Amino acid sequence: MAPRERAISLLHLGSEVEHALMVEYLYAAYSLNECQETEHRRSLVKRWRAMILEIAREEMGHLASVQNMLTLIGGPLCFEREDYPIIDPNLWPFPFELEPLTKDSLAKYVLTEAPSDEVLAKLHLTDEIDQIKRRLKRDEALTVNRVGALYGDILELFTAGPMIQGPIVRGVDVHPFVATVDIQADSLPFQVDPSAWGLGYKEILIEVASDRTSAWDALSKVSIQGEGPLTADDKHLPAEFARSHFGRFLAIYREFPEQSDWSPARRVATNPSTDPHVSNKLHRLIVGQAAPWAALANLRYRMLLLYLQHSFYVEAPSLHPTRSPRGALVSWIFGEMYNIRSLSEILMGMPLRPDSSLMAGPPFEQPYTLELPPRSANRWRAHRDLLMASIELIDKMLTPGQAQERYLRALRSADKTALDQIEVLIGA
Amino acid sequence: MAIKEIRILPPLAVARLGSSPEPLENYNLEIPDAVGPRAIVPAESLRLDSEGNLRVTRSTGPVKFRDDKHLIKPVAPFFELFAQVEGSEAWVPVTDELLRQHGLSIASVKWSAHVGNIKIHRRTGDENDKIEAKVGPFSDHGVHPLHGACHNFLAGETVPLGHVQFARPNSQYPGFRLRFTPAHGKVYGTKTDVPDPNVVKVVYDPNKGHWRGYREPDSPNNDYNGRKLTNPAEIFAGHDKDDYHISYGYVDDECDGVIEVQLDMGAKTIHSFARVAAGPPTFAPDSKPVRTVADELEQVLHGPDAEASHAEIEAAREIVRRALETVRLMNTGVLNKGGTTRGVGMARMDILDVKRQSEPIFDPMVAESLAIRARHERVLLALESGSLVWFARALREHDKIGDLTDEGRRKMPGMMRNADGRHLALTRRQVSMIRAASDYILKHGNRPHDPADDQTAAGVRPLNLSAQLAYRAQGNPPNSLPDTAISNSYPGLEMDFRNVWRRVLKGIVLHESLNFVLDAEDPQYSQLKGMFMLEIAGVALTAPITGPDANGVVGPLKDSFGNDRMALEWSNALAEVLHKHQGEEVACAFQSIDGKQQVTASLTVNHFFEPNSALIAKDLVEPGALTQSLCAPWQNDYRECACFYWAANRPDYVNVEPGANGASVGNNWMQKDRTASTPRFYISDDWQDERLYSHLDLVTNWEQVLRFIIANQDEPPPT
Repeated sequence: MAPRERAISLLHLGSEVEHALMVEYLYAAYSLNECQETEHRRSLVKRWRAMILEIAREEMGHLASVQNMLTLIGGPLCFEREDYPIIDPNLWPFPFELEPLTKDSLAKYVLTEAPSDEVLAKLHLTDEIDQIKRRLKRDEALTVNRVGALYGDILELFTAGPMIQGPIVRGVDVHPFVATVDIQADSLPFQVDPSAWGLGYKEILIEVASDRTSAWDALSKVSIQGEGPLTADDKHLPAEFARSHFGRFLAIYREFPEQSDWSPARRVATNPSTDPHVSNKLHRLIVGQAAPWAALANLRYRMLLLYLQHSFYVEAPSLHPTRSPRGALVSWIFGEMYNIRSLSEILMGMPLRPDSSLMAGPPFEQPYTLELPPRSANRWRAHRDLLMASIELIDKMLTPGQAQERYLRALRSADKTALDQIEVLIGA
Repeated sequence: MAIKEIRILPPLAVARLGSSPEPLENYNLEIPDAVGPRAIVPAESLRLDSEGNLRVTRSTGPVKFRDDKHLIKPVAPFFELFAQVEGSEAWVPVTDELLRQHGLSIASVKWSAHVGNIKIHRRTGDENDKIEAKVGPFSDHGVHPLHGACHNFLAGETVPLGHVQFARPNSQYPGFRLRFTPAHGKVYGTKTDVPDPNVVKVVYDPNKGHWRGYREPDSPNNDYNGRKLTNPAEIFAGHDKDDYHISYGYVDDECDGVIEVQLDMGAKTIHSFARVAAGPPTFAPDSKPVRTVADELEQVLHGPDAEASHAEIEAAREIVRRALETVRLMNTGVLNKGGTTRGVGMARMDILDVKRQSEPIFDPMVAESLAIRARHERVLLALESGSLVWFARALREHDKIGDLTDEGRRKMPGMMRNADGRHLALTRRQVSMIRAASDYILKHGNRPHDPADDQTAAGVRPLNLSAQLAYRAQGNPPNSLPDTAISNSYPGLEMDFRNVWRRVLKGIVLHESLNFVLDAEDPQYSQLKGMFMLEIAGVALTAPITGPDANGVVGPLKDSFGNDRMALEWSNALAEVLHKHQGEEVACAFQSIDGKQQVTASLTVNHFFEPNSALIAKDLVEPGALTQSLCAPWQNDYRECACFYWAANRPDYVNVEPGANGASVGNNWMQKDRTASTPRFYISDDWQDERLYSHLDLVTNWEQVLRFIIANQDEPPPT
């Protein structure tokens, strides 16, 4: 592959990984049950949940940052997840699984986010990590690949060689890297700006870039926030380790009880699904009361991804910045994040099936496509259709006096307001 | 069992000006849609005729805020009389029957009222500029006008400040009640050689007093005279000349004061009182402000820390709902901007006040009005689902209001002004309630809204002090309650609540909005007059101001006096002190204006409420004090204020709808031309723009030109 295409393919993989991890971490966090018997346990679970949700938010920021890098080098965006074929299985952390948080799942997350062996040695964590690896091999026969390796490969593609730029010249021993001519500074208005997204909160890392150096910095920051220090001689080693996803997951892992002790997580199903045609025994079909809620959660997940994708197509205006639909898209993105959280809480309080002792959960199922149409008006039509589907589903779900009636009515009302706005945009 | 105590409820009611002879009918606010506007639903009203006879009415159609002559119906609250009998803690309505049981009669009950408008006095310092009206004691059921008299008025002239009337009890409504009806919202003037067409009558004598021609400097000196000015200053009707703002000598008919009652039981007479403040109408009556007088009083009553309970979940929802109702009526896109042109909000004020770098508060895209509205709707949605109240971390801490970094300015509530002039913080108790709601959900699990949690209208048994504070007398509409009166007073609309803090310490009088000692009423503290109070009971009363300067370098920022610390607003700063030390001596630290002299002194913290009540102590606030630092006339504020942060009461952005480019379009509430066919184009605030109502338009004709906004829509224009 040409270096730029290789970079795009790895960024796509990176995007899918970030997306998958974000969803898995969200599921794990939502599964935590803060209604524990003792104040001490409540306090622990509350802290773990907050930490994992924070990590999930940061993964969302990583996802946005990766899209920004794709925009920078003119690659197509990627909001898919675990899209087949995976170009390099050695770069994929572990098979996608929505599961309640356990010591084993935490082990996976720790290893996914772990730094290089060299850095582990510097942090005196080699033995501990080896022990965690052995645990997973023993309990799940699983090998987990570091996400850091993927970013290492991407970073190399953004690192210019000593002399020659551009495609590989046969016979010359240089590593391939993205040509300067392919790094498009004028793509900046199409990248997602952190100030619009993060509302100024520093921990949500969304990086933009306009040249090689800023792209390298962006990608390394994303990687450091995930796995911690890139090299063993990093002078900020301890601080970066503590702040990294790896460091935080490890801290939780150390405190987390074994299954036989007490259960911080609810008994939620692994890989819940609304698809009756799924014959994979690893997936659990949702039936009964929870089924329409799961369908609604899928719909909102799709809406989130499409709003997010659409925001990259709308140029951030330099003049009259308020006269742009981008602000509405960002608000709706956040709105869907809140909705997904609400729906997840509701689902995890409902049984998977009438006869099941397991609770349901948000399926985070991917629709038939996440592609947006090429023409602007049709992109708005895509959102319109999903809003109409949501309103229709809510109308079917609404029963006077039901527990969540007010929430459903309010959601419907908010959807109608968004629909009114979108109708105007389609007309325009 | 003898009657041991009497009490008037509500302890504080808001009256609202209007010149219709017909008071506003009662209504309830219902929430049919958690993210939509509240519904205004007619409720049982009490009509009181000139003889004091009561009758019940109820509209069948929509509630009308104007009469057939297009005059605004005033909010004229009732005050009900309750008694506590020995051997019981319950408060029971005082009736003829109750009195008879105790060998008393209706003649044993006597009412009086004492209200004041001391706005001029607050500026001039002249005792003879106080306007006061007193009536009573009386037991009859006639109308008792409140004639506001002033030494500096022309002979025989008064300003009508409303009237009071004792309703005649009947079999259907046997309880004793008094009605306060406010004035009409007129503006009076000073006698001049050339008649002033903007006033309804001249009352002020320029030979006696100096209100006309009174002036305040644009850049006050850092001395006693400069520091004693109201904050904001120059908020009276007048003209500008040579770096001064000079008063026209106008007088309005707002007022505040006490309604008093005495029960003569022969061997002894027992008393009670309640407070009333008369201010402008709520022009978006289906909306409530995000921080209100009720929130301040709740904080004093219960302290800054809330306990985790289910009630806090609904309280958290209510706060967010009120935030949504405010942003719905604000042009957040315009208010977000930096720059120093008129008509823009806190971003502009940060530049003008402390020379912060000029830039928007939020990314302009996300500050767009519909985007902001959508964001708030979705947060409220999340709360409706019983989801964790996780946004507490986004709220501004009360002692971080000087943080003008990007992150600091983006805390919530955003783009609104606090009582200290900087960015709005909720009360500490409100923030605590949101955190407590989260803790409760964590302990007990998610629980969606339960209709049983909804507050009922009048009829709540006033057993506890919170219930007494929120008590709604029969026939009183919701906009008579303190939870519809704004309290991020800068200076305020219905009242400038900051004035309650002036006498929080016995023996000295503090500035209502500055940590400055205006006066020493106890001679032993005379040296403290003109000093700054820096600390009370170990609590700092100032906070650093930090942010990027004009060059973008983050560090201390200085105000016009060269200070890099700002005074915290009293309500939040004193919350812990009030909670722990009422009636006790506390150590206070003072410093002279020039910074050279430091003094410590022990002062006693006054009790805020009368004993065992939710009634602001009589000694704390004299009649007229709650409204003294408001704009003079109040109509000035509707034009003067460029921050538009009371949008739930004083709308800004109306007739908002989606525009073709995805952003919002709408009109400025001050635009003259606003009909169904008017282009939805927002004219930015500019005093010189003839397309917008002027100060004098409001002084002369506010009642006709200011329009009610119901369900986000303009009422039809006057014909």
